[in-house]
Amino acid sequence: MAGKIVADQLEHSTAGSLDTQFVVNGSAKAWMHETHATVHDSLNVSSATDGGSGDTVMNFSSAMSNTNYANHGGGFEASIGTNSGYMAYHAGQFDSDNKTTTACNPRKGFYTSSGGFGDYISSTVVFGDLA
Amino acid sequence: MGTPKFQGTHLWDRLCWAKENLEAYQSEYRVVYEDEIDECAKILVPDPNWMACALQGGILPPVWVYWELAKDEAQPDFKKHTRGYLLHNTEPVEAMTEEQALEYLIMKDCPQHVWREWDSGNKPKLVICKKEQLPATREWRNAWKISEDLATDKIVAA
Repeated sequence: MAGKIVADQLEHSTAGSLDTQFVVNGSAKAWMHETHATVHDSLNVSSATDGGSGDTVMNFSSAMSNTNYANHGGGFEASIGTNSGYMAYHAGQFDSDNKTTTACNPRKGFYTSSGGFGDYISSTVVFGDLA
Repeated sequence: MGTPKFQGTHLWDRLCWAKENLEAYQSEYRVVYEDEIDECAKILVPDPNWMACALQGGILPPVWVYWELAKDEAQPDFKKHTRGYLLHNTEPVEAMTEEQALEYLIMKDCPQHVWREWDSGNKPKLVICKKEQLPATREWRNAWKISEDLATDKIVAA
């Protein structure tokens, strides 16, 4: 590709140096911001699958190397009074069984005042090694 | 803008190029499918950056590459991918129409048992529809099923 720089280390004039492997390994490999699986912006996502309340699968374009990657998500709802902005993983439903190298589903949303589980805007980010 | 010659370039780098250089395309289409009899209908929504790649051409690998990786991952002794090069070294697919892109996505991101046998039961297991054909609110979302009556001017899930 044009503009490619190959370097193993970055050095600052006073603050020291850093191996570029920290940048490569420490960068998010996929992320998305969505509402009910309609993606507003993203990187390395082919589609999102709405499987119900708080259940949105993030499908990757470039696969992860294995299923030991880290994924995290958060939800947000601005219009439900005392629960405004509250987010939570759905207790007992972190969907690790459905985590593959091309998809993950960190179930996320908010508990309503009536005890139900809802969803609205949410974000998901993935760190790990690419295939 | 033309697509650089990407065969041999890591797919993730291609996606970064696309995000910087292509305009995202928000599709109006949705794929509704049922993969488990006791679960609600699922709705697959194309990613706008991915759609831009599909319409541009020369960026995405052929869909069979994902099937090969899925086969490897299904092996009981799977630890990590050793054929990731298929994603990066296989010749990318040419520009797709929106319809072709949706077909590709179905074959990539829907379970194979759904799209291979989508019309083998009493009603279709998979439907492509416009966003407007979904219920306007998410009331009873976890009970949505594909409608028995699939006239194209009607709501497709309820």
